[in-house]
Amino acid sequence: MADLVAPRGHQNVSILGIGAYRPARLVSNDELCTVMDSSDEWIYERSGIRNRRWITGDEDMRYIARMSAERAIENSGVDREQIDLLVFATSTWPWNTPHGAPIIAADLGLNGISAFDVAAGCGGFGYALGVGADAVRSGSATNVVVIGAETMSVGLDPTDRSTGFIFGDGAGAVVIGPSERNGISPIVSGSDGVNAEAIKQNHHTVDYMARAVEYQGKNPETDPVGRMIIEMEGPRVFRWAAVTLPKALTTLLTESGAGPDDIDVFIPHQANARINDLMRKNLGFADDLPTANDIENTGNTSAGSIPLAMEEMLATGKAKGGQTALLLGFGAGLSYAGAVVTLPPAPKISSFDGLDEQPTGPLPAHLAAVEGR
Amino acid sequence: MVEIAAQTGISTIGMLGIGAYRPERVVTNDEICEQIDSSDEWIYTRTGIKSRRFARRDETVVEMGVNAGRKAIANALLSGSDIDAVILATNTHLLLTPAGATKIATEIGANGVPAFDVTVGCAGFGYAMAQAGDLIKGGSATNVLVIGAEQLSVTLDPTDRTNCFIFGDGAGAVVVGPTDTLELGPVVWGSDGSQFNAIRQDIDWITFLDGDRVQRPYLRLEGTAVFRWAAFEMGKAAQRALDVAKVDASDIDVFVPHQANSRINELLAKNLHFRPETVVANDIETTGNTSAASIPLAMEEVLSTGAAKPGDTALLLGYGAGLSYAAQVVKMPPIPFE
Repeated sequence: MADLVAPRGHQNVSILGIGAYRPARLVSNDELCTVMDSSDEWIYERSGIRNRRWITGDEDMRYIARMSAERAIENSGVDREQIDLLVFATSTWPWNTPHGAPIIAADLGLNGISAFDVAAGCGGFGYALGVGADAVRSGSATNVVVIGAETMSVGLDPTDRSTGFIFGDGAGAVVIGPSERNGISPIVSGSDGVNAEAIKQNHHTVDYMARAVEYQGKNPETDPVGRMIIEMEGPRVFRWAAVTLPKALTTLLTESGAGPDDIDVFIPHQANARINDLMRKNLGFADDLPTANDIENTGNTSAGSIPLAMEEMLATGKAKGGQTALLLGFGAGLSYAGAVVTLPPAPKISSFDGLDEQPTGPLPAHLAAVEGR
Repeated sequence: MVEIAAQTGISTIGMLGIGAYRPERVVTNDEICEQIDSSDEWIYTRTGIKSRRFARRDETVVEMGVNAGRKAIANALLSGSDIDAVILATNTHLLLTPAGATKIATEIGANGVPAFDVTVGCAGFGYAMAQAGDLIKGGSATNVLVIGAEQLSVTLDPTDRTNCFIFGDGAGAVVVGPTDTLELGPVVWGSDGSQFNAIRQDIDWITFLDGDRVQRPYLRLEGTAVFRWAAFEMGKAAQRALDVAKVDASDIDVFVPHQANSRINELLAKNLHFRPETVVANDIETTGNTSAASIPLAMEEVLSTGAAKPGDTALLLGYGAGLSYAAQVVKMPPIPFE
């Protein structure tokens, strides 16, 4: 009987570089409130959001994901040929078949490498980082591109007062690989399927296709078919977050070997600046601990939020390469995933370079009313 | 500077149990041919398929995954509380949000554990099993439930005579966990994104939502392109999986390729030069192509019928949409009681 052999991996793994892509079109609360019955002040007070970015023109999921990864590879200094796995965390890839990772790999000049998509809602980046790091540790891969990217605007109703102001589009990516010292702690992750419906798509795809047939004969003015959008029971999510996340963070600070005093930077998922303030206080972090607040101008980009927020802090100097950061993603599933990591160097090519001069296209039809005043 | 801990995991792992769920309704070639100009004989000659199973319209990938998952756990002589991670490989979970795995974790009695979906087309099970192995070796989990589940019947254009007879529904699951000796070889995995279009949903969701919505999206297949890729490239991938596991083709007792087409699989088996008595899984005959579910379903079939035995050395080879593939040499899990 044949004995099997195991490959040898690298025990110590780190984030070697980071890159991000922010869509050109910035949409302010004031603009949004031309169609939503709300105000800049109301939105900002409840969520900490002033602006978000939505894809327009030629920007689509494939493009923004690829751009973030291009920059991450460039910024990491890792030879492209040395990359052998691409993990793509997203909930908004627009095809059920095929998945996005192989085509993004091909766009990056890496056609042929192992590549897969991971769906775990807003916790997706943390899950993808964990799977990527374990692939390096067990020898299934050497250098891994991990992308978190979303186009949340596609499934958005801009008149919906509960979710219309929250979501934005964007992509962030990191390259991880072997390092002398370990820079990615064990991932602490979990889920709660009892609350699976707390953040969910309103119609599943087959129901929606049947609905589209049914509504063909109806007047779209009086009987609109609507879109497949994300619905959220905010209080239910908040209650879960308040109970589950403190425990997860405590576990994380124990298992990572880093205590609260060792944390230089806190990068929680950018879902709500108020929840994040609360978490920071409850963890006993100092008020002046650098804490990601990319949500203010980016909104909630789901699986994209953590790498985008990390990139923002490094690009603007709020955080520095080599610092110890606590990451925690949480959201739809419900799911969460966190890690303690050593931050990569500040990006040489940042997502802010030339961003203001980038041309924008018209907003898609379901969002066009926002600029149609 | 703080030293960030790097935990180590368990290095000898294998499949502790397997379970399958096959939907009740059997759909024969004759029934398929009510809507297309074809015949039972034509379909069987080209694909090796005689019948497939379709899920009820109110059945879901999550439900089928739960049924297969529960059996895999029971057949591993474990309970839901022993499972500390759930990975669901699928392309046909019908919600972009939330993922399906969290609900499955709850239903099998493991609410709270890490749970996520992976999408890698027909290679999904192979990718998910590789990830499960990596999580255990990396110390992130101990007993991982890996599920491949698909409801392809809802993606089919029943009048498309190039592919509507190929696909079926079902779910298969295994528990990956610690064993005395290593029972999972290194994974050989890869992709060809340049052939992204060869197996695809023909209208993406954004185009559908933004358009007049008269034409719904369907799954399409460029059979010739896929056949060519599978026949040429997959033989090489399978050989590499043997090479990295340091196993000779003559050591393989069971070959479990993705159940896409019996003719492709016969060709692959012939070119890999197995022993004459090596069992080649042929679950496709009564199951059709169930994408990410096909390999665990086919493994369960050869174990249940006695064609294969626990501990047999098997070569698994998943390939399909992406295009993506994953190959791995494994030891067959215990015989399923249920």
